[in-house]
Amino acid sequence: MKLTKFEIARILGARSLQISSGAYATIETKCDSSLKIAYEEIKQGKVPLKPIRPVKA
Amino acid sequence: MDMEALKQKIEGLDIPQSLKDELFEKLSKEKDLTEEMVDEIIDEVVNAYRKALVEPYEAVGIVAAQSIGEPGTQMSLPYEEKIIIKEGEFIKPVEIGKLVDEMIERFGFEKIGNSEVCDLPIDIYALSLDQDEKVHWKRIISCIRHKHNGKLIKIKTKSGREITATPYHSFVIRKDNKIIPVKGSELKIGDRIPVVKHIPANCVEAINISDYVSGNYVVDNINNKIAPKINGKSIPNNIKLDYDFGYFIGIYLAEGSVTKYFVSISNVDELILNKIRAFADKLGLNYGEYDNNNGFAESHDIRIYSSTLAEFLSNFGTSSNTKKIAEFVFGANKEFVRGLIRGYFDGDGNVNADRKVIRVTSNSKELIDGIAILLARFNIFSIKTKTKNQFVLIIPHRYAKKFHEEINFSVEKKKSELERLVSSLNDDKTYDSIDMIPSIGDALTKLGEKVDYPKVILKKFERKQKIGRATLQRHLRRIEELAVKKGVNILALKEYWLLKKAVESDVIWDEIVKIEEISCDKKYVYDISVEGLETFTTFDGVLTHNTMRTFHYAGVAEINVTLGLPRMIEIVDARKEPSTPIMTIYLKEEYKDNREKAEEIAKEIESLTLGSIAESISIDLWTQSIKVELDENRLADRGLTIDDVIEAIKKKLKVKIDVDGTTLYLKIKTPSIKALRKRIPKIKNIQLKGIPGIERVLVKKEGGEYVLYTQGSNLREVFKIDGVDTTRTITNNIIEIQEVLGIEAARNAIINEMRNTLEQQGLEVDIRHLMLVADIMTADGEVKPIGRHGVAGEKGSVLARAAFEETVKHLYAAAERGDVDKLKGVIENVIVGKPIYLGTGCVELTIDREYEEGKNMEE
Repeated sequence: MKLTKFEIARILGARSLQISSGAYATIETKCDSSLKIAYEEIKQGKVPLKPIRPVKA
Repeated sequence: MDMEALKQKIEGLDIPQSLKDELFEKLSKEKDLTEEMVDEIIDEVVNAYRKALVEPYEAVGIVAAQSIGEPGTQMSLPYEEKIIIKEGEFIKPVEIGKLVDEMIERFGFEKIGNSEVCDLPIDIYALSLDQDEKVHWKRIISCIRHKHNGKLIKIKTKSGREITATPYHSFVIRKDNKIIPVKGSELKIGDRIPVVKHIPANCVEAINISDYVSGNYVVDNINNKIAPKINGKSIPNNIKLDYDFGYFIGIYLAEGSVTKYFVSISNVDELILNKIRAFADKLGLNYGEYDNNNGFAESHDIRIYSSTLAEFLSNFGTSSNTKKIAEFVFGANKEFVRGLIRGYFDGDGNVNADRKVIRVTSNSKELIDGIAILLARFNIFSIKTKTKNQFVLIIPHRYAKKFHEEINFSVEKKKSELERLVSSLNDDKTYDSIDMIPSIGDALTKLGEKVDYPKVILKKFERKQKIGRATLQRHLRRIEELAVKKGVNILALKEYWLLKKAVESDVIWDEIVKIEEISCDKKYVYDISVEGLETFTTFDGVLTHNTMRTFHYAGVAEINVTLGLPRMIEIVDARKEPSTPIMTIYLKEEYKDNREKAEEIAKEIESLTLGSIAESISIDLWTQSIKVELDENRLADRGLTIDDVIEAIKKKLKVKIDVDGTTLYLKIKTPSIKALRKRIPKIKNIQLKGIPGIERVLVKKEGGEYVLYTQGSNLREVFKIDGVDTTRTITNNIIEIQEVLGIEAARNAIINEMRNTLEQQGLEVDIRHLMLVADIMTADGEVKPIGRHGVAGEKGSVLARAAFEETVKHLYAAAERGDVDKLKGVIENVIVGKPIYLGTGCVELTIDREYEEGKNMEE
């Protein structure tokens, strides 16, 4: 699914919060901050989150 | 067609040469034209040209627009600008704002447009320049003030004079040997504006000291004494303004200071000191002498003990920064002024024969300005400059001789230096970059040719279009001599008198060296209207011009239009009626090219009430009725008869009408003064002709057709008039457009009005913004204002409405009804502290069930 820039920003925020609170990362990385790890995850498409899109009428 | 015949045909036409040339060039290139075709083309061209022609006095172009911010008719000076006036025998400089405010307070005002105008019932005179280039005292007819919040322009001339005015203020310049007015904003550096050189003055011979001191003094009129109430020496009350008194004041201006009880003057020159002693003796006052050497140099102080004299002298300022010329001096006789100037120059002035200047320096600008004006009494022109923190007055060497004759010095050293300066002057070298006469045209050449004057000289000045006054005088004198020799009668030549007039003029055409824009912080700007050429003089000696007169003329093609921010607010507020309703009425094909037909329609549209056409409407006590006097000629002028009037009245009011010639008596059932009086306004407003609400109609030629502009708007009725092009005619009343033409038209009107308003202010706003506003305002099928009573007040969300205006009212009402807020909008979410539904705020996340943890890792 192609994400909009708003969705990316939102996912980035939510995922980095999870990682920061102790969630396991889905990727192997040497990044040292939760935000960077989350960004890496999104780039590789391995985020366990997805946006709810409004159903088209 | 034959070229020659074509050329002749075109030459014979009644059109400008440039058009003829163009026409010939175009036609001569076409080869296959028959004679008929050529005739047809020519006819067409001539017709088009005639159509575009404007008759004299016909209004052209757009209506002179006037916004609340910057009316086209505001031509004024700011409060602080001083002008020279004469009241009785006294000449004095006053701040124009003070004068006008005072007069308006005393005599009230009448509102004309944006201006408050006060016609003066008393005689006050202003110094005015006439077409003969002489300065006269002219009566001030009226005082005007109006609001201004734009820029002002500040003009500085070569001789150091300054004037500040609104850009619309009009100045006069000399052009083609005539004095003509020009707008301030059109002046440019290098133009020459007039500055007075000579002030005609009546002479005040004596003054009463009591007029110039506070009330703490007792005046003894029999013995002509004035003395302090509580002990102190008396001095003569009525004091003659003679040379000695002037000289004393001059010395005071240069070297003196006052305290409450004594006047102190310090100087080293024995001659000056003796004069002071003599003056004190004359008044019968004691004085003490002190040697003072704690300052920069040794000096000698004389203290004259008199609190009366001290207070009187404080009219001239008390310290070197505040020194000034007291008002009465401007009207004082010449001897007194002569003494004053000599005293002042003896004290502060200096001469340098090598550098050929006489100069005086002071810390007070007001004093320097005053001295410059006083010097003008002796036809001596001076230049003002400024050093770091001192103001300098320089008398150019060409006036040194005059200064020597009229004023001179008493102090030996200065006197001999001045004599050295005067004797070193060469009459032939007369170049003066300031006193130039501009725009002499070919007058000198024409005159010179008559007497075979050297052509080189004549051509030089015709090319330069300016000539020093003294130079011109010299040449004129030679021409006169030549004329006598050759027996040519130059007195009969108009050019001779033109130049003679220029040489003898009372003004100096001073070159502008600097023009700058400054902002204005005062509420009002001011103007006065003067008899004659409408010019008046500021304290700095600059002559300016006033054009308020044109404002009073009836029928000048001007309609008041609200523009700028106020108009913008009007549009957005969806007012029922704009503050200045205006219609632009276009005419149908068969009417639009004919001025007479256009005027006929204008007459049909312009509303005419009984009040405006009746000679008088009054209560007749004898017959207990309302008397309406009519003028048959005026009625006929507008195509009405007395019967028409009677009918119109009967339609509106239940009255019995007795007719007596051209006078009508309207009788009501139970007459009483109160009842009659109540009806008068009603009667005045009875519509006789035209369309109600349209006060004025202007016919203008625009883009080759006649267009009517109206003050007042009534779209529905105007559409009914035959000849009005309903497809193009518009009004600026948006609500009216909605009612007559519908909501879509109103939407377009909103967009157009807003765009025009913004464009006139030089603002470029993308039309989509305006369309959005117009859409929101008209979305419900009627024009709604943006604000409490419109768009903002009808929002769906309680919190959004409460956040805008009338918070409590909305919350109470919502609580009472049990309203629910869905928190959909931005404002509501900001209030409750949630993210707003925009951008990242409208993304909702969930766990991606399809994504299995570790699934990809194994691969």
